[in-house]
Amino acid sequence: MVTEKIDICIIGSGFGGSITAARLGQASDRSIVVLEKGRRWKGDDFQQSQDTKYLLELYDDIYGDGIFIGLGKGVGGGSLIYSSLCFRTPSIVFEKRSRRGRRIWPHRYSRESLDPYYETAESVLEVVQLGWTDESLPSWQLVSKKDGIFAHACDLLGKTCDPARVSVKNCRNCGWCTAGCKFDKKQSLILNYIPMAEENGVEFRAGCEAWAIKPVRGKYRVTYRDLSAGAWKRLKARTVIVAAGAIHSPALLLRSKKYLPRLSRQVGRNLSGNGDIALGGLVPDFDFVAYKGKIMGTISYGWWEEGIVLEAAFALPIGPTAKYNTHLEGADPPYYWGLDHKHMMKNYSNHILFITGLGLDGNDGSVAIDWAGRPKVSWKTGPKSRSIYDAQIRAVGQIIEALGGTMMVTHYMKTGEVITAHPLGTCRMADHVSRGVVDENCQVFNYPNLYVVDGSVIPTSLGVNPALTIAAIAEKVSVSTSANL
Amino acid sequence: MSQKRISRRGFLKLTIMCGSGAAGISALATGSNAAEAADFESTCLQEETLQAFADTIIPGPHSDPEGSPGGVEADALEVLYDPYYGLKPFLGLLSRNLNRSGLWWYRKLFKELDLCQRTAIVLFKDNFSFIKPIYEHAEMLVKLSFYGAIINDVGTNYISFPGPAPGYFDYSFNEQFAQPQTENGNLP
Repeated sequence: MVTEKIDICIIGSGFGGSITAARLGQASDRSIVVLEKGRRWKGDDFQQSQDTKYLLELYDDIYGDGIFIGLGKGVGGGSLIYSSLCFRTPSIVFEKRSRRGRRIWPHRYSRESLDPYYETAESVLEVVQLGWTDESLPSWQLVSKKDGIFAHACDLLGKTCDPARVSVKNCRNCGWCTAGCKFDKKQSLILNYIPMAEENGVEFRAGCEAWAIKPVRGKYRVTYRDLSAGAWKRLKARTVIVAAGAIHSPALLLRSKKYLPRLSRQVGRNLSGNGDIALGGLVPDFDFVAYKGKIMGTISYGWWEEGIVLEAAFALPIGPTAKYNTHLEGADPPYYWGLDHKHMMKNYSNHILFITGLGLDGNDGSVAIDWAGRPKVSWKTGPKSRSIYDAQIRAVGQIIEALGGTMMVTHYMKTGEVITAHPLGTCRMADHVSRGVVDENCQVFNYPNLYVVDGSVIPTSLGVNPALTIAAIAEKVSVSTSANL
Repeated sequence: MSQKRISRRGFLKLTIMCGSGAAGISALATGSNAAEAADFESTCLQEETLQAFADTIIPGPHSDPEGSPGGVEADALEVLYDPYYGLKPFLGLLSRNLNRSGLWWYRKLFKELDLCQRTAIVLFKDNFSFIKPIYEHAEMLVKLSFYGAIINDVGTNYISFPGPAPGYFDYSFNEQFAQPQTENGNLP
């Protein structure tokens, strides 16, 4: 097998991979190749469709033990399907300590140290804050009616509610964000960092799944499968950046462990779901046409003292019906199909308010690999995570009650299974190899020029949507990595 | 659920009758087409049983007092039989399992039961059947076909979800309903 020689290999093209590729491409004239398992997408390729055959091209669904994870698949990674929310992580999160009282984040990491990089990422992603009225904002930049109802309920409870910060321009408010934006209004990475990278000579290879990394005479050999050709290939690079996300990055490192024996034992541990939970209720007194507008447009920090935030949301119908199960609290019998469920669903578009919770969970999951080398994810809710979910359920119960509605029993409440779109922590950064996989520059301990730059390096849950923080870390790390080229 | 049980002898009798009923009927037909006729009858029974299953998961006009469409009208059968979704090899097992339960509990085929009886059987299977994953998968596919508009849009029309749209102008109240906590949406 011929081994191709390049300077830098980046594995994965989500926020971590694409931003690193763009900045390294700008900073040097090295040969850079990005390997991405999924396909290439452009605006015209996206469909406003719930067809499973289409959505499974776009989503990489991971079914674990006690957890389900929805990931993006394709050049652009999670940016293709995310709701475009971009928040800076509150400073207090960086001060989180372990049970032994040791700071979990590397000691030089803080909100203040990340702020310049947040600003850079916000500029490229064109992040703006939505507003309540069009007095001083363009008409596309407002929160939707469901957000208004959610805010009204927060106000009734004496809680605050802020318009969200989003990476969107001239939005059409069609509500199909999570199926890919066919109008190119959601500022996915395919509209900014990826073209920036390609303009600087970076090559994105779609349909290529990296399988193993092996150190060879001061460089790294990456073995990958070209899925369209059905062929195994190899390339050798001085620098390898793993950016395959919090599920596939640790899986790749674990498959390579026989070649990387000095990897930290923390690989695959400390999986956080970012405290994600999907909740909601039937509010028959309010008609808010849930499918109109951005799918998420507000955030309430009113319960932040309990370690949670809440966001009004809209989900395409197949989510809460086919994939995640919901029924009304007090339904008799209480199950996810049948006549009563159908009659409840009749209110879907106008009277069912979905609320997403995020929070500071307890990193209770892990990623291992099975006999075939595929990721095997498991989750067992611990006391800290349980307290977060309980707080979210209580808070949403208060909101629905304030609106005179009936709470829904959703998937976690019924089964205890966690559903998340924000896996973090499985190759966490730390000050020492005993506590993390990478250092503060995202370089793998004991392996110079091998990096991990994606959500897996974030050592704790963030309590807010993580995309912007991953972007800021990638911007920060690109600076130090460029210096080492 | 009715507690009227039949004897083991009677149960076996009924099962053999139903299971081979098709063959029996066909045997009375022209001899050379007996096997084909048996297959045809068996397939019809399976399809009718699965239709009844789809109608249980999302009741249609015959079962729903509203008279509104359900899983059958959403062409759930086509989705169940689509090899892409991986359930096709197990549909015979699902169908036989449903009919055995119908015969055991009610002395009738599943398709002959009313909605309450069918619901009771499927609910029991959801919790206690050794083929519970097959039931869960089949339930999901019926719901997908209805709420996901896989084949037609009777389901999304029912829930007033319009599907594809170029965008909306009337999506906001254009009014502030709560006080903000931050200056720009980010906590410090």
